[in-house]
Amino acid sequence: KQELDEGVNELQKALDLGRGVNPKGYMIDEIWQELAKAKYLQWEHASSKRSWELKSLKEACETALKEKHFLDDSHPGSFSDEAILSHMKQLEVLSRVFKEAGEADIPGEVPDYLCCKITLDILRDPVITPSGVTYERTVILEHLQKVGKFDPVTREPLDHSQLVPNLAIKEAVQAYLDGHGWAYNTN
Amino acid sequence: MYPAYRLRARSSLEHKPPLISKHMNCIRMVTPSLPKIIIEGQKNKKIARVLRLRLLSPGTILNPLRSRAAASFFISFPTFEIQKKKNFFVEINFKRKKKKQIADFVGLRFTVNIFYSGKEMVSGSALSAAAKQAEQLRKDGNIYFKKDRFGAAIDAYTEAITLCPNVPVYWTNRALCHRRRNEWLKVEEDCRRAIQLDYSSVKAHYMLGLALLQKQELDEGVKELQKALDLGRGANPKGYMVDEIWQELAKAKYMLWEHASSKRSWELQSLKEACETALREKHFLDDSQPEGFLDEAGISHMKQLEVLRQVFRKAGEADIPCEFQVPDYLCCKITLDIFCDPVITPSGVTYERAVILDHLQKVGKFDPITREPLDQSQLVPNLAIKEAVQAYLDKHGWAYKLD
Repeated sequence: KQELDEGVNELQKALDLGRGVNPKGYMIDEIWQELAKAKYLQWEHASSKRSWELKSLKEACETALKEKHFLDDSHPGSFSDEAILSHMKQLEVLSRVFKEAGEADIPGEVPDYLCCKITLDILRDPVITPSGVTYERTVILEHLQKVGKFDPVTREPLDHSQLVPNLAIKEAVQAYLDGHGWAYNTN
Repeated sequence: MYPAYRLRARSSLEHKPPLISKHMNCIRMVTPSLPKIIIEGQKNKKIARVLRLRLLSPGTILNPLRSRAAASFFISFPTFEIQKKKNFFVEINFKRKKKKQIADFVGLRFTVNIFYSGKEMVSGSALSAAAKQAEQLRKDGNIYFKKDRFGAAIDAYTEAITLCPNVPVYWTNRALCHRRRNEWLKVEEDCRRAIQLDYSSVKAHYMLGLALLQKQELDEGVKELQKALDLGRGANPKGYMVDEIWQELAKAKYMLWEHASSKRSWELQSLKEACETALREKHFLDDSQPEGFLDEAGISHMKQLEVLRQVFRKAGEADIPCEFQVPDYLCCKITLDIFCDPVITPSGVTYERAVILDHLQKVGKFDPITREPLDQSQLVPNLAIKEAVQAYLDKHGWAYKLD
């Protein structure tokens, strides 16, 4: 596991250096792919243990609460409605709590604003057009070359020199990946 | 620009064509009495010429003008005065190009644009004496309001309402007076009436929202404020009211969050305690050998409690005070406040629109961070970050608090 961490660090260094020299170099893509894979493994490793822990704890809590509810209820013949309702509510809140706690570990849906409008994949190198829409750089460049010199969503005229790197969204994506490692899965 | 009316009239072919010529067709329209009339026809190639345009009104005859043969035509009358008239009629006679049948004229539509050169537009179909008086009362009310004489203002508006109950502005004006006197129930009543008359009234929705908030109906209040903000932004994004509405909306959303959050924290806390006690009891009961307290069962129990604590901490993250820090990428690089209207520069940095415009005007035409030359036309709205901010606020309502 330690080697995995070291490996990730080295890959990250390589990516930063490569990007510094030539952001569009052929190696950059390859390094990024490997880095993403490695980070995914890192996450998987940490998360599988965590999610197992969470799951077993959730079940333990549920059974414990149920038993307690059963025992607390002094008149076995007449289950008070209130007690049942509050017990149901407890279980509901419990499942909500565990869902929230497991957010980092359970694959969900990446929010819209962090995804390219064309591929619907999470953004890696986001660029913004003068109309305000954000795309993945390689995808929009391909669009401009193959389809036409206009913005795919607003259809306003667009040239590749007008594309601006959306640094704020890039930071946002990084923060999201740090908190939700499952999103590294590039399938 | 003058305010304008639009009227549409269909040619009625049930009436027999006038006897002037068998090729003629005639349209009658009823218009309010206003000085200047401009009549625009829609594109219809069948109309060759407007032969005669007569303004029929008791005692007034105008010199008609002829139009060129064109698909769409435009005739303007010289301004004239109509004194104390309630209605007048416009009659348009047309000649067909060829001897086509009357059926060709079915569905012909004309738009009459009427421009009123006066300062105030009276809504409603007649500039009647009552309407005039009501307008005068409104002006009086406005004067009282400016002098902070709210009681007198309310009386004036009330009289105006009695004369013309269907004018939304009178209701919103009165609601504003009630607001200044903090009589929120009356504000609500008047605003609701105004909304009935005019659904798109920004002021009505805004004050209704405030009134509902006073009643502690937070959800409804926020909805109304949001509606007011959307309408206001649609009409004029830089209007003076839009800022005010946004401030109130942010305050209301913060209250909403506070309310929900304290309820949530309490729920979480009681559940956590219930789980802890339940687990302990279970452990106690399960544990058949008292000496084996430190064995695996004991360790896993301690771990359980620790993980439980972690779980509940994570779940309560959105509400815990010590986690109060908005991420950097959602904040303006100049003010360090969360974004309201983020714009991005060609260098790729994102700022709050008002702040960067201020910088460009007062400090210089360059990007504050990269120092590259920058003009305000180069600013692009960063829609993705705007969405990100909204998503963050939805989850962390405490960030609505504006210091």
